[in-house]
Amino acid sequence: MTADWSAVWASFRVGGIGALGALALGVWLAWELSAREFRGAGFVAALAGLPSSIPLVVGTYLALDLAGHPAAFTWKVAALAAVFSELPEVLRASRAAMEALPREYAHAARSLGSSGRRVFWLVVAPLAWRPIVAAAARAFGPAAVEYVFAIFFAAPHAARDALLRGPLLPVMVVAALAAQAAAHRLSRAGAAT
Amino acid sequence: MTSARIARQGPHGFSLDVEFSLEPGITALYGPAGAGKTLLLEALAGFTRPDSGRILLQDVLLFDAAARVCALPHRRAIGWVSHADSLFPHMTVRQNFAFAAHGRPRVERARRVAEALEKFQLSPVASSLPAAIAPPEKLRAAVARALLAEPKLLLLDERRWQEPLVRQVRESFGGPVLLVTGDLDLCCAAASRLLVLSAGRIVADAAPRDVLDRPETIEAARALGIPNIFECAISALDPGRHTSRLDLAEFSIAGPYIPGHFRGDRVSIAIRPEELRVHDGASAPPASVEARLVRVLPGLHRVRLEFSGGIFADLPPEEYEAKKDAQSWRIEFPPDKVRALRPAA
Repeated sequence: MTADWSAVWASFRVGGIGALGALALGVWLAWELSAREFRGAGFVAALAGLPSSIPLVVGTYLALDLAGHPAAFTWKVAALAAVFSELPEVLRASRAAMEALPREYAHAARSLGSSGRRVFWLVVAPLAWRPIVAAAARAFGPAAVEYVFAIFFAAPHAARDALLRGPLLPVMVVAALAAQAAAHRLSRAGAAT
Repeated sequence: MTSARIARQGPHGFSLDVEFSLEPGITALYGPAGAGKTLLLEALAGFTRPDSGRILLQDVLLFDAAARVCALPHRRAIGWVSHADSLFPHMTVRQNFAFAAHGRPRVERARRVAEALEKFQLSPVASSLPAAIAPPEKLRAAVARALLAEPKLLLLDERRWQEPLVRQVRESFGGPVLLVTGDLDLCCAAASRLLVLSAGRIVADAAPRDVLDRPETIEAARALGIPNIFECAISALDPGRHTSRLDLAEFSIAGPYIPGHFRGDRVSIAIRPEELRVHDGASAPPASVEARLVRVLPGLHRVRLEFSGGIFADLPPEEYEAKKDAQSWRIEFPPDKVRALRPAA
């Protein structure tokens, strides 16, 4: 009997897209919130942090309800849910990393004629990337594992036994551990520099 | 024309409210900590938005609160050297320079970077990261990088500015420079004009020597660190001899003629501690006043003596050594060194 790897790949997709999506959205929001003063900044920050206030059970129920039927809870819906559920943590880490940089760097770059985008890519991102990527790596584990648990509990009894015997759980445990280790290493390297 | 009128409310009741113009050359900005120097520079550079006012740089409007004009910092052409290190730590000195020279053809950029490295004696450290170079080199590099962007106005925040570097800036850059410094000797040596900022207001604006020798207001005298500021009553005025007699709380002294005042008027006067003459009681001239020594504050180049009546006098260490065992002290106020002050507007 050959192992069923489809659930593994689906989990990787959910975790990867969830982490990368949260990274892109979180970094963009963090840059806007830390570099600009605009009306409603507090509301935007609160809205982006809202998913962290929603209990996992409620979030899953809402996602299933939005999908209409458990069968419609595809990996794409899960990936989208993962982006928003991991956004608060990535946003918090990104803001902290950007605001920890001495503001003289960004000010000097602006005074040298650099646009906000150039300041971000050439000054802020190279100096602040480690804790931000560490937060995204940390987000990968929960995003992928949540999907594993969702399909595990939604599956019929026989299919659940098959999943238990398959590679899904050990591979995801190893992947989540590897992501946490990478995040830890990046955080330590960031703190050392 | 380069001019600024800036008003901004700060935290804890502080407010910045200044108006001045800048000419080509170095204008020094001096003031005590918390006077608003960095806030003023940040408002000019566009990092802080004033609540009201107008900023013109070579007749180009950068900010006008009423017209809702506010140019972004990277479009202002204002060079800025911060009070802290601002060289990008992940780039070498050469890369920092290339960052400033962006937007030019590659060959020209390389030429300009090489010229700047040579001019500011930074060629040996061109490939070093900022963390690996000495503080004076970092400061030279920050200045050279700011100049590479070809600003129309250069803002130099408070650092350990040395006269040769400031002179080099003056020779390299033809536009106006606003230099924040706490070094009054440097102001006199390198700047053509001195602005004194105190509690968010400009309290003196003139040639450095004039400001230092003849502070006009109480606020300017305080901001310049003159401790001898006394309130007194005019008991005699003699315009013919250009003298006056001034009654302080505990003694009276001879002073200069004070135009615009009458006998009996109350005025404030100031005298620098180094301009007072300190005598031991035995050899004092009759015009001196007796004072009790309260404490001695030793310094590197001067010893500051605090006397009763709030009188402070500075003596060279060798003069203090010669007089320190005096049984009594008398202080002489040279009349030509006494300045009458007016309250700020």
